[in-house]
Amino acid sequence: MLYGNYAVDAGSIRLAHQGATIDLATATPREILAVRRDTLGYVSQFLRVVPRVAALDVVAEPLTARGVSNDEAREKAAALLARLNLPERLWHLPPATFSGGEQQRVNIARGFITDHPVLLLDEPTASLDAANRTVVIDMIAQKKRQGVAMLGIFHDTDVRDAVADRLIDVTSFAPRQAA
Amino acid sequence: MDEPLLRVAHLSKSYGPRVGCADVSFDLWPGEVLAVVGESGSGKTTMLNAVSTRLEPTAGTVSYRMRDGAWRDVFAMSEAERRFLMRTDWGFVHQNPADGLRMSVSAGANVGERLMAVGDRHYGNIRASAIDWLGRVEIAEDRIDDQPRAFSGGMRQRLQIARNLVTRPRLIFMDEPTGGLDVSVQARLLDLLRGLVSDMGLAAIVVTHDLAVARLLSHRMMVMKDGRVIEHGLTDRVLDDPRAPYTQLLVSSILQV
Repeated sequence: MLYGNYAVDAGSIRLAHQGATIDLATATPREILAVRRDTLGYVSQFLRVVPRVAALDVVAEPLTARGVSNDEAREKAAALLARLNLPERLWHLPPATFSGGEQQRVNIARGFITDHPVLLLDEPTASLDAANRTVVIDMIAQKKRQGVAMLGIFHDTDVRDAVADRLIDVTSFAPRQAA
Repeated sequence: MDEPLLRVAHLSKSYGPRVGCADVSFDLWPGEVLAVVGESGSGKTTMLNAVSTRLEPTAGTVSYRMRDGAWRDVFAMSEAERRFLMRTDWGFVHQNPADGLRMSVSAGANVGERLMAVGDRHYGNIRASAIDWLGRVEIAEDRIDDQPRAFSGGMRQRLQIARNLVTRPRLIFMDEPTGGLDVSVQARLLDLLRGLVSDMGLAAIVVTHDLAVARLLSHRMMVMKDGRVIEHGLTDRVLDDPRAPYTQLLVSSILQV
């Protein structure tokens, strides 16, 4: 719902977007697209991309969509993938054939490449090994220092304790009962 | 600047007592891709043909913002003006490339013809543009003098796209652009289309029955059934959280690989 891919039945989601407050619950599709481009980033659990596009271009895409040149976007994408220890020989292959952990790192790089002021993280470390988990924790800490607000879902308590300032326990939400 | 490119209001088309499409309204902005989905017979192609003035609608209006910024009712234009608009600022990619290409003239002439239609007369420039566009749609330069009948289905479709884009239109209509192509060719064409749409800032209306194609290409999506729009919204919202029972049925019918 926060990212706009689920419709809202009641309530509001207010977000500061380009100097004004916008309610995502009632925003038009066009406004939501603008919010996603400039304000709200998302690291998804799933990788949905055009088949046959190289991992490097998948990661660079959010930047080119904002008007950054291809070369500059690819350079930044390469730096992120290197930091996340994705082997360089995979960069020019489409991610469809990657393992779960490799795909997740492509997703993380794609989400972290921009400077969106708000970032949603959906279990960003679920399928990563310990070394890469540490890299992601560092990257989250770095975003925090840059003043990025982040809302994340973490099952992994170690990561959660390492990055979270505040916790929301959702076990009592029981949306079916509330509805 | 922030104004739609195309406004469709209450568009209906009947074939005698039969409804083709009924009361379709939407705006399309520059650079935006709208997918129209629905099963065969849902009225999506009728709607596309009526919006693109290939069919006379029974009721409703279609307004287009011309390059000079003036809004025009496309059905109030003279036939000559409308034809000029369709040859220059609009493109139409047919499902069957043979409907959009001239099969018995060379590939280069198919691309160059649109340029001549807008007044280009310099043979060298036309040929250079044609070569450039064939390259952009990944057709080898040495095929320029071959007729499209000698091309494979995927090549024909790419040639049709080059023919449509050479005049740098602002709006392009596509009717099942990847229908009838095998999946690897389809993937390549989707990647090509996405790149061209974002590089050129094209607005597009894409009719497809393939929800996966709609997800990858479009920003917004309209679901049609029995000639009416039953759901309309952001593409991933419609696919991830379909509201209308019919959309839920469509989404749950997608084959998983």
